Amino acid sequence: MTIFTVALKYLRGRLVASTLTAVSIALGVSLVVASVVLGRGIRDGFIAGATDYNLVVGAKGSPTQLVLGVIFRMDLATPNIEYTTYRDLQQDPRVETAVPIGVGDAFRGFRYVATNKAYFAAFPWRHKTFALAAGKFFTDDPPSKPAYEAVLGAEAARSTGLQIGDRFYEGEEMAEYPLTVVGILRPTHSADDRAIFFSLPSYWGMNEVARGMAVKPLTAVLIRPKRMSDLPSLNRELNVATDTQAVLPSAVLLTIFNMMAVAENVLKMILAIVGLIVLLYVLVAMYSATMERRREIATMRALGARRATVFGIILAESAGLATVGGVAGLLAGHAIAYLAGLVLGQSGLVTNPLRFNLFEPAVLVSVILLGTLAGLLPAVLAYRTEVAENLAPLS
Amino acid sequence: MAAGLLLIFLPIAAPAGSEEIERLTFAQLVDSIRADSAVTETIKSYNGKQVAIQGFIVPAGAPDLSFFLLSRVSALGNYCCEAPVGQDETVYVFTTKEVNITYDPLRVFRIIGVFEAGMRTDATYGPSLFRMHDARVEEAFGAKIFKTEEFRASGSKP
Repeated sequence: MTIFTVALKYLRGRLVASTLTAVSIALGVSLVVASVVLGRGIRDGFIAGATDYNLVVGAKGSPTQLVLGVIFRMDLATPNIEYTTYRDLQQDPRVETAVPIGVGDAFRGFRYVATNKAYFAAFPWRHKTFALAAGKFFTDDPPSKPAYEAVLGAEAARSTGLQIGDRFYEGEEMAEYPLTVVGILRPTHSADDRAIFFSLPSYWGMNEVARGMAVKPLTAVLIRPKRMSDLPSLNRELNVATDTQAVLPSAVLLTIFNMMAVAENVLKMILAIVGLIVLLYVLVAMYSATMERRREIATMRALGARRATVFGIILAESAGLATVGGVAGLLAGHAIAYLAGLVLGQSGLVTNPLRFNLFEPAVLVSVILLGTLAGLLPAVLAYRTEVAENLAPLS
Repeated sequence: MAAGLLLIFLPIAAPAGSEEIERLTFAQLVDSIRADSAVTETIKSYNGKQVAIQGFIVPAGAPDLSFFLLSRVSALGNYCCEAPVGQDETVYVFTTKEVNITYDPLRVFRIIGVFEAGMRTDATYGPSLFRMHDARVEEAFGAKIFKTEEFRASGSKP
């Protein structure tokens, strides 16, 4: 029998205690893995879902609300700006492309996004591509004759079950203005998958107040400048103006990342304490197990087992528990991150919780080393077990 | 404005261990521009060499900062006295490794990368005069922004 087979036999012999120890290690590791994978996933989700446009122009207010509302649709829309803002920006010699956006109500939680065809255009500088899975894009209808045609994001179509030709509306007051599905987009792995797109004239036609307005409202304008170096001046001018704000979406996201980093640091401290508690638990469990079987160890010694062999068996037990707990913890961590990712996905942020992180092998090796270390004191105790003392008659 | 002046006129000693990396200032970049967006041979002599430039980060590209603008003045201080600068005082920075910084629009950063001068148009980011490739970002310790009282004490008028 090798050291490892004896250690395995001992672990099997006290299956409940061994399982509980491994589960506690797994819980500690899963918390670390889930928090890191999820934190990284949220960051990557924001980066992947960010717009290709470099400036977002909207009404005065919170820059974070503007970006989260218009790009990620995770917040309420900011107040309206005038359509003339879009027209002015379109004619600005520094602007290459301006895209108007109107964010409105929702159908079964999937946000209405009014825009024009430029939103879906495949410019050479764009990373994001929009392709139709079925149907066609909505027509650029005139304001006097809205077509009420809708193009659904992939997730919006899947969840609602709407098909090409279906008509839908939400709320009795919208019954007069039902939208007709004319197209369904392929997945873009961004918040656009959960949006319902239609034209600006349809957006204005659906709203009683907007119908009567001489200058139509918008939520925001997305800007691509001809020269990136013109961004600061555009940004400054639109912010100095009394009715608009301009935001660099990446600047807002980096500020969010900064805030997340503070929360992550607090979480790291909590996780370090959890790790310490798990380590102590393993130490106590192994110590108790060793104390309970001092008589068995003395018998082994009496039958010829060397001190080093007994020492090795206890260490192998600790390492075995740490390995099983560590591997189970890695898997459980990804499972927790996956479930949390599903919840986040409903709010518009797409994460990839199954993505393997380079820190994971390091976590596993650390857990095995620390787990083995926790078995060191009990192993020394076993090493020093005196045969004569522990083989004395029990009664 | 104070920070801008500081960046132009006060070359700051490079931290220990990076003496080999030459520091370029925005003043040198502006001086190098000639008619029709041409640049001097002097500034071109830095092409392909690793240099350090200090300035404010304008996150004009993706939020992973794989691309950003480096500007002499902060782009996001909307109520300051100095107007944003144009292409002559903007460096287009491309990074290949992950940038791990606490972003602050009002903080001066030190960018070290392979320099390139001369008009060139990038498919994604358009035309630019000055670029840095394979760049890394460091906090520019010592390149502090003047406080108002320090500015007054220096005898300058805001």
